[in-house]
Amino acid sequence: MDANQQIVLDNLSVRYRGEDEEALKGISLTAKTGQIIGIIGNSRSGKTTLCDVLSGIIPNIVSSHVSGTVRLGEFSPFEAFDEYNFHTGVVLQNTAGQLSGLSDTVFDEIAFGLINQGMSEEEASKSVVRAACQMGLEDLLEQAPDTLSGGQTQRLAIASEIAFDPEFLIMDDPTSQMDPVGRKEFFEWLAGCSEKTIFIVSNEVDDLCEIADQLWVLEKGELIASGKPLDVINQVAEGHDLYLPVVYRMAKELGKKLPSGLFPVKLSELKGCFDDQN
Amino acid sequence: MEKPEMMQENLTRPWHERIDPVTKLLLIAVLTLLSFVLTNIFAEAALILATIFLLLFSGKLGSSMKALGFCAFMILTMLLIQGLFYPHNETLAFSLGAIAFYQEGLTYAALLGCRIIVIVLATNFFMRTTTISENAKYLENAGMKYKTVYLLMSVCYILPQMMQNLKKIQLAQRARGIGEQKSLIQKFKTILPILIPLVIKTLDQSMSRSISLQLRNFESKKRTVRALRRTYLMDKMFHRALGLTSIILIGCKVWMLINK
Repeated sequence: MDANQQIVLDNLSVRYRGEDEEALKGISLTAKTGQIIGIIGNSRSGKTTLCDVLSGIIPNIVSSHVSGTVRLGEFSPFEAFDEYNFHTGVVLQNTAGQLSGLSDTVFDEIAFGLINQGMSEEEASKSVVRAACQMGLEDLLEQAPDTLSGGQTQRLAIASEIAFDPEFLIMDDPTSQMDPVGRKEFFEWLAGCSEKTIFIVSNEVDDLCEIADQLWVLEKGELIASGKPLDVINQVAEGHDLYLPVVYRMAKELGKKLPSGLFPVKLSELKGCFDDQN
Repeated sequence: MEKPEMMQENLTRPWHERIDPVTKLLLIAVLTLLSFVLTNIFAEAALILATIFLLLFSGKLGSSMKALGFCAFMILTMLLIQGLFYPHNETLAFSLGAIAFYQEGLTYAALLGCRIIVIVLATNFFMRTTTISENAKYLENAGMKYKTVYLLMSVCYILPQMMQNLKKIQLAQRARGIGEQKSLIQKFKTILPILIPLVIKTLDQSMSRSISLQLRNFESKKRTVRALRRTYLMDKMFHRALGLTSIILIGCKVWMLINK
């Protein structure tokens, strides 16, 4: 595989200043770019820290003890951060804090990053409308950002990042405040994103299994599994206190296995099990 | 040359929206300096009246009263402390039992209070008649660095942000069974213990915003300066006149300090 099309994490460890324990412990893996990578794990497993490293917040903005290598394609957050930053879009866990605070309207807020990147106002305007439509915000463009609901604010934060069409999109729990319909629409949109490399931390394991190409599972700062959702969920189902997808639990309850001997994690796979039986 | 639709839009806008943000900022500076140059309480009262008229004619007086309420406690405290302990206290104004209040201290505190009111009202006129992005756009177009613009705007809007946080914390307090505070003393008693979390919350928000701004290429040299969609009434003339007035007032104050 071409090195420029690879995501490489090599022995990545992070320890926050003033802390004795490492938040991430020797994480190593490689993956192809252009995939949707779901990152799951319980509280304090290191998901947000990993997002912060992937986005370059650690160590460029928040100082920490970091060792190891991180490379997304030809870019690394540890080298030439400004250049790296131009290719990555980041949706933080606290989306309200992500807003610039200098925009009177949703339109201005989405345009903020584009204008900073030197895009002309006309071009920026087109990109804003495109991003707003993708996130279902087209009717709210003239509304003040601080009047939006939590879910709408999350959609605004995502729209602000996808507006400049980044090569890599890193999202930390972007649907935590969305209503079920908004969440469903978001994951449908995400499933349609091709060519982009997307890292998404989420507790919506069912949705992630449906759309992610890869799952990375973290536990107490260590990577305990990575790979296709089917393999990963079957691997971590025993011996780890993790939320398992409904499809997996249902299939296990019903004793429905795929020909490979694994329990399905996607609805289509479960249907396949029933079809095979008939 | 203004486009006809722009001219039409400018004519339909209320007068306070046709005055540019820099003129308004300079107006705050002039009113503040004037309040420091004046030493007569009646002249200060006239200045307060002028700022009240400014807000009244822009239709923003009602919403500015809340800000006055916020500083009323501070002014009352000043009156109390200066009325009792001002070093030049000589003439008895009135006494409450054994506690004597002096005229000199009360006058001095009233003068300081008037200055606070003038500054608060003038700043309110600026904040309530312009939007953040309009200010930012105008100042950036005027040649100010965007980082400086952001800093200036953040300072102007930190108090409203803290007030918003305060309201949220108070709402949470009420949800936990703390009754609505009616008197000023009751309000003060409930605000005091939440001051530290309030400051921490505001600082935390500022920290998140700072991270986000860096990620969103806030300091990029490539940044496009956005064109102004509006034109303003005699902006250059106002800038010169108010700028000159500010310099004269600073000169007056320095002269007064030298000849004291």
